Amino acid sequence: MSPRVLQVSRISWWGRGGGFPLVSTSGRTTDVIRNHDLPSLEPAPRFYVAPPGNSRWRLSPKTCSAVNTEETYYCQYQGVAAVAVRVRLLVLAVTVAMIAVLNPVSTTIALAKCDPGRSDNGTSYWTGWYRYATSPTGVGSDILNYDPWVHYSDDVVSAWTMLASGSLYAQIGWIEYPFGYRYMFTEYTTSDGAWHRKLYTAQSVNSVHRYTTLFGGGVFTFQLDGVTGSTVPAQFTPDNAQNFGEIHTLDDQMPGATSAHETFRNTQINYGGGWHPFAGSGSINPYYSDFHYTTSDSGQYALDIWDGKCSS
Amino acid sequence: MGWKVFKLGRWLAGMGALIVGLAAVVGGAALSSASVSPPKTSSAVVTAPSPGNGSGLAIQSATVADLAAQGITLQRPSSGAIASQATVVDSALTRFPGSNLREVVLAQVSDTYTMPNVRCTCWVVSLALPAGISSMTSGPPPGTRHTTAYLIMFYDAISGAFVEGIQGGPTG
Repeated sequence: MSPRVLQVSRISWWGRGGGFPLVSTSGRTTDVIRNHDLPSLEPAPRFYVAPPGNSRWRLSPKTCSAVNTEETYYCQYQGVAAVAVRVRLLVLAVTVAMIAVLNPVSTTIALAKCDPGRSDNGTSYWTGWYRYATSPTGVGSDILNYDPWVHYSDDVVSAWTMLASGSLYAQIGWIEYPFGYRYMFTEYTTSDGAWHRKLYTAQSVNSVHRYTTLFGGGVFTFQLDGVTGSTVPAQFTPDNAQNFGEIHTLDDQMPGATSAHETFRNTQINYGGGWHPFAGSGSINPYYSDFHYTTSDSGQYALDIWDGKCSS
Repeated sequence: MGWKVFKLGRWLAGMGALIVGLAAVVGGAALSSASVSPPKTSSAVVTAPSPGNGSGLAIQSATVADLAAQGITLQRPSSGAIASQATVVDSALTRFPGSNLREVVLAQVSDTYTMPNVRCTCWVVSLALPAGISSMTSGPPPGTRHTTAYLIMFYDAISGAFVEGIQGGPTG
């Protein structure tokens, strides 16, 4: 997947009491313009964006919603997120004047996220494969650090390796929060059912790294590229291993696109004292027709997953 | 109506540029500075204990058991911070737009689960996620309900660099 350059969407709003364009200029993926009170406006302003090419303003194709009591509005467009808020008229006019004179266009580089255009339904989906085995003691896979679309109303999109038994699990992989904030993560459950996630500095987007979860000696061990990064106490005995991409609402992009899959390579499971081809059973859970998986080596080591609503 | 008003706004922009001139630059700079300010933190507990004797330190937003399950213990710091509290709080809030600051404390942090172990004088920045994303179905499919009881980011008190973060809570 090759990166493509997108221009920052410029955001404006208008309401019944005014109509002054407000432009985000910080050039970051998340643009924040400080909130101030501005009376006599509609409670839900309409937002306009200047799309790549920057030719004309258009009504934002997505509804921008207030997400907290500060009347901060989060908008997402063409892979670029921005935040617009109400400001005082005086500050607004000064801002617009400044932009008109000094900085008519802001640009940034964004990787190829893809808004699948589905509505937020609050339901989680997994696409990947799993395998039951007698006393599995490890699972490892070279996972592509894909950069998916994460809707602002969701918490995360992730891809990982896992050892599990029922609802108890231990996992490692990459995870992305809204607005492009990425981490490597480990997560495990204790016997009381509590979940414990740890966030570390992310590997770079589009890089491939080996994420391994091991079980033995009373601990789960998490490795990155064969180097142990952490150990946690094991309070269950796993009976299966998994590799999945995971989203928590249909408005998110399942990692991967039709021409740029999320890939799990050299995927292996350890049991019986040795490593074996993962050779898992594919799964889309719950089934949704947009999500896909395939293997390129007769189902031995290689798994691809993708979101059919995204082409690249 | 919006488009006409928008055009009026652009016309005002041009005129404003002529009139405002240098003041626009100053005003813009002020706005830019304000733009990175964190959301309201009036309800947050901000604690900066004085350098102490290394005794245990409790925070309000996570229990000792929560932290222990992450391999983490907190003690009163034996040295002060160089990185400003405001800087690390702003960084944490930027990483989680829409969240609010619950608590920030300077502490001697030990994480014996991470390899090599983390031992730092760190800013401990605790956030509250927006209600809409504080509970999700996760884990192995078909998943169980995961509620976020705590979300804490650790920043090196000297460099201000992100060290690690923890998040967790009950399931079911």
